[in-house]
Amino acid sequence: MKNTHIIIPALNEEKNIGNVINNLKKEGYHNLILVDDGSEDNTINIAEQAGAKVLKHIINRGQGAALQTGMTYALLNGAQYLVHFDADGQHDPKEIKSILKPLLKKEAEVTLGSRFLKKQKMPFIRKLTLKGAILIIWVFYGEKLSDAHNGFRAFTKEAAKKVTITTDKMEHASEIIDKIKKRKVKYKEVPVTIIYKEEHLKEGRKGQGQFDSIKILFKMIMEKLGT
Amino acid sequence: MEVIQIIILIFGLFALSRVFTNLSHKNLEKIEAIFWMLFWTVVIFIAIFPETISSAAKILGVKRGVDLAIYFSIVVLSYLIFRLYAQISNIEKNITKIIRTVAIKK
Repeated sequence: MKNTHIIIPALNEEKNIGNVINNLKKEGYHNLILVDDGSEDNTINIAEQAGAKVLKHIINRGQGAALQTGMTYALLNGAQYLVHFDADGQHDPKEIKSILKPLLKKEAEVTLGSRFLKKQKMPFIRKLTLKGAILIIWVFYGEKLSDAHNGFRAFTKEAAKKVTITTDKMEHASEIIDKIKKRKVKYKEVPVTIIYKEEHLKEGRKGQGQFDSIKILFKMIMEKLGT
Repeated sequence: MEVIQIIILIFGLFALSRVFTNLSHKNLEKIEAIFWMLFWTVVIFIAIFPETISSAAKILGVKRGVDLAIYFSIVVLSYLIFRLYAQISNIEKNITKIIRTVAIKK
């Protein structure tokens, strides 16, 4: 676990970040890299007190940019395995073991968390958007996934060097899949639980709102034309 | 001369003068400055002699000179917006690089 680095992108997560970091520490993970994406609340202090290494984006650059900052830092600091983990408490630290397993067994270089491989309750509109995203990924990249936009992922060092994120905002989820395919990185989907708390359902800014999905689609088309 | 011609003429001259000041302040590359000088000279020319685009329109198969001017403007504007889009996303990527370097070095 020493060589496993957990990358946590965060924006205004003072309510959850303390618990998230403590729970990760309880599971035995100590290389916790919190990338603060320009929070205006107390996220940085709470994370530092909880014992995470905090990298600060002085201007908000988006989740994709924050993840890549964490990846670059982890690689510079000797990470062998890199895990993407949400700051809002939607992921279960106990499941890091299962997401790392295929990498340790050398069955895959990247694992992608999937909430659809497990039966689970989910708000209907969320389900619809996610299923739509899966369809779009399939049309765009010819890759059939069960969950295209899950923030729970793990990479080996080698894969992390191949799959660099260059899209700053939320399109990174699609970009990662695109690069996995183009660079022929072996991947596997792993069932994970997403904890839908009441606050996650209330605020649209969490994860990807319905309107954001349309913006992302537009950007994906532009990127596709650009390459 | 119609009022609209005078307005376009004055605006064209103003825009042309801006090209020269920007060039002397080195805000514009030479090649860009030449493009804009040509562009505004054409605009001024058309404002003074609107019949010229009418005959150009006939040659190109467009009914009215004004229509040709509008079609042409849309094409030019779309291209400029595309270029701005590309430049802005380039700048965005560079900003991210800077922010990332600062975040990691501190």
